[in-house]
Amino acid sequence: MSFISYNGKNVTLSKDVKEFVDISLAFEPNPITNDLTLLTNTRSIENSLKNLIYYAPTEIVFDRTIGSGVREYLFDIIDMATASLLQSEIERIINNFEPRIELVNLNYESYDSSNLVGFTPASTDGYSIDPRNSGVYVEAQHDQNQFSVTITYRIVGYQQIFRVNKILEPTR
Amino acid sequence: MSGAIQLTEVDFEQIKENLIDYLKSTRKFTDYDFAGSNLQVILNLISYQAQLNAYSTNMVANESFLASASLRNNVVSNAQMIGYTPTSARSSCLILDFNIELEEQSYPQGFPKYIQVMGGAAFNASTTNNSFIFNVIDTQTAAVSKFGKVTFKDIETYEGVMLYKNFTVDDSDFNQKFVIENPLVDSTTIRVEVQEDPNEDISYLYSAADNLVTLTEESRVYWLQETNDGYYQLVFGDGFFGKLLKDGAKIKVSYLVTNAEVANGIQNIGNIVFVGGIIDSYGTRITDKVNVDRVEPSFGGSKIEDVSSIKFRAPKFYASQNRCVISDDYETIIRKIYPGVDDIYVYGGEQLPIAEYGRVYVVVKPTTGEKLSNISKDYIKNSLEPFRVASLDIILTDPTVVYVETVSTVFYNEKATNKDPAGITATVIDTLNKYSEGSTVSKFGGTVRYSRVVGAVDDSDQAITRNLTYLRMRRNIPIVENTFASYEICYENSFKLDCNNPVIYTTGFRMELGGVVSPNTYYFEDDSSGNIRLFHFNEFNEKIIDNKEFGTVDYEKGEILIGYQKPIKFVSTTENNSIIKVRALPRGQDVEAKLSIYLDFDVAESDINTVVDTKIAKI
Repeated sequence: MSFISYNGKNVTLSKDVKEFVDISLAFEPNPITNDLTLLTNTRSIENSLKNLIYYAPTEIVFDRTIGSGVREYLFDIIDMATASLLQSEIERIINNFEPRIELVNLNYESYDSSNLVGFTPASTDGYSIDPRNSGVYVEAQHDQNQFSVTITYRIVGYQQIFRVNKILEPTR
Repeated sequence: MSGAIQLTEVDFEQIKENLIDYLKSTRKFTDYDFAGSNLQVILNLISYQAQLNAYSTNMVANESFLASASLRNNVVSNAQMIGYTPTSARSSCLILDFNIELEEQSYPQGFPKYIQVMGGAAFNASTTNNSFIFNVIDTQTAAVSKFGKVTFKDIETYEGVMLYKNFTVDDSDFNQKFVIENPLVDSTTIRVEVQEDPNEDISYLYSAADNLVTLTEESRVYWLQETNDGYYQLVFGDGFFGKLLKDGAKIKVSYLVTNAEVANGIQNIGNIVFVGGIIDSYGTRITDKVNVDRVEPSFGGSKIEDVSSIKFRAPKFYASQNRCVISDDYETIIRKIYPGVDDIYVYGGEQLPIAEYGRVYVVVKPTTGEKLSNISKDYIKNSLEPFRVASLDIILTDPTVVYVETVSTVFYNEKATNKDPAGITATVIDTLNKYSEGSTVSKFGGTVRYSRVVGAVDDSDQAITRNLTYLRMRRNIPIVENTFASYEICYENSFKLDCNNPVIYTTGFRMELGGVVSPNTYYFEDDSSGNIRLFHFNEFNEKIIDNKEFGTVDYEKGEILIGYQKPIKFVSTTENNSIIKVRALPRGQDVEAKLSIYLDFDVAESDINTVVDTKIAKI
C-alpha cells in the first residue's frame, strides 16, 4: 500500500492482487476452520494441469475437445519418440485450455534468477540448448516404465517462474 | 450479492452459465472459468444432473399426451385410451378363380361330394425379382359336378407365411400375456382357436371383438391390442364381457407374416402355381392339376401404420365414434379399412345437379393408379356396412384425375453458373417435384398456383434470370375399343378463349369411319367457336380436316363432348393402355380441383426448356 499526493490530499493506492481459488475434490475439512479445503494460486493451477492431462477426450460432457491422448501414449513404447509426442500433446493442451499460465523456455528467454521459485535450470555450455530447460520436458525412463514430465511456467502477469515435476506411469 | 440459482433451463450450457453467474456473485471462488479446475468438475456434474432432470421431466410430460408423444409405444398406448388400435401390416390380396378336373378312374366308388382347399399356403406367385406365397386363411369348400369338375370362384388368398403359436393359460402367472412376437403380422389374418377344457379335445373358434355392446359372459371373443415394438397382444374376456378362460386352456393362434406392399400388382396368370393341400369328402389327399382361370391384380398390401399416421388418425377415429355420419367419418374409417389410399372425397347425393337423396358418394384415389378395381370397391363397400347409417346407400366412384403440366422456358445467365442447360433443367424439375409433394397440391380440392410455380422455377437456381411459364391441363381418357360410345371429358376449369389457336389438343388414335377402319392416325382440336374438329396429317404432313363437327366444347364449364350426336368407334391409340391424352389450356392462371376432381401435378410430362438469357441487363 502506498500514498500519493493529489490536489494536496494523500490518496491511497492499493493493488487488487488476483487470486486463484479452487475447491479440493478430496472434500476433507480444513482442520482449523472446519470449512472445505481450498486450493489457491499455484496449487490450484498445478491441480488444473493435472486434471487437463488426465482427461480423455469426450470425458467432459458436452465438450469433447477438452482432454489429451496422454493415457494412450503411456501404454506405448517408453522411448524418446513417445516422449516427444507426449511433450507436444501436453504443450497443446496447456496452450489451449489453461490461459492462466504461459510456458517458459529458459534456453531462449532472459530471466532474473531471483524469479526462479525453488529450482535451478540445467546449465548449458553457452552454445547448445538443453531440452531440460524448455517449457515442457518429457524424459522417458524406460528402466522404470514411466515418463518424467517437467513443466516450467509463469503465471500470466507475474514475474516468478515455477517448475512442476510429475511422474506419469501406466496403470491398468 | 448472490441471487437464486436458475436450474429450470433444459440446455446444459445455459444451466452451467447460471451456476457460473451465481459463483461470480458470491466472489468466494474464482476458478469456475478454467477448463481444468475442480470447480469445473463440480459445475459439469450439477449442470449435467439438472439437464438430465429437465430433459426427463420434459419427455415424461411430452410422452403422456398423444399430440406430443414421439415413441411408438407411448403413441400406441395413448391411442388405445381412446379406443384406437393401429392398423397392422396388411397382406396383399390375390383373388382368383381356379378349377380341378378329377379323374374318373381314381374314383371307382363315384366322385366325392365336395373337395376342400385347406387353410395355409395355396399359391406361389413369382415376379421378376421375387416369389410370394399366397395363403387361404379359412378352409374353402366347393361342390364336385357330376363330370368330376370342381370350380372355385373369387377365392381370396393373402400373401405371407402362415405361422402358428400356442399358449396355455396359467392362472398362477398373474401377469400372463399372450403376445404374438412378430411386427409383420397382418392382424386381419389372425385366427384363434381355444381348447377350453384341457381334458376335452374340442376347440372353439374365437372372434375379434370391436365393442362391448353385444357381449355376454359366454361370448367367445378376444381383443387385439398393440404392445411394445409393434407386437400384438391377445386379451380374452373377464367372465362378464366375453368368456373367461380356465386354467390349462390351450390357445392356438395362426397368423400371416407378410411382405406388405411389395406383393401388390401381381397378375401374370402364367407365374401362379398351386402349392396347397386339397382333400376330398372321403378324406383323401388330391394331387390332380389345379388350373387357374382368372386372376385380379393383387392389391391392398401395406406396411404397419406409422407413428405420424396414428397421431393423425386416432383423434379422428375417436371423433367418428365408429360410425359414418359426416364426410370426415367416411374418410377416417375407409383409411382404417383400406390403408392404401392417397385421398378420399365424400359428398351427398343431394349435392348433384339432379339430386339423389339417400345416397353417399365416396370417391377414392388409391396410392397406385388412378382408380380402384371393382374388387377393392366391393371390399370397401362391404367393410363399411357395420358403420353406415341405416337407409343410406354408399356408392364408390372413381376420381376424375386432372393432370397439371408446366410448360416453361427458363432463361439463365451462363456466367453465373457452371451448369449446362440440362443441369438447370434438372434443378428446375427437382424444385417442381418438391412443390408437387406439398400438402395443398395433389389432392381433392387441391390447387396449382401459377405464381407459386413461377416463383419456384425462378428460385430453383441462382443463375436463373427469368422464366416464361404457363400451366396446361391433361386428362387421360381410356377408350372403349371397337365399340360405339360417347365421351364426356370434364376439367371443371374454364378453357382459355383464343380466336386464333386451338386450346384443346390430343394424342393420336385410329378409328372407324363410315364402317371402315381408317389407316390414318387422327387427332382432334377445338375451332375456337365451340366445335371439336377431327383431323389427320397426309403424306405431305398437311393437316386435313375430316369432320368439323366431331364434338362440342363448352369453354365456360370446361367440358368436351364427343360422339353425342352420333356415337363414335375408336380402334386403337398411339399411347399405351388404350388412352388418349387430351390437353387443354385453362382460362385462369391457377388450376383448381372442384368436386370429385383429383389434381395431380405431373412434372414428368411437363416441358421445361432451358436457354441462355441474351437480354441480361448490363451492370
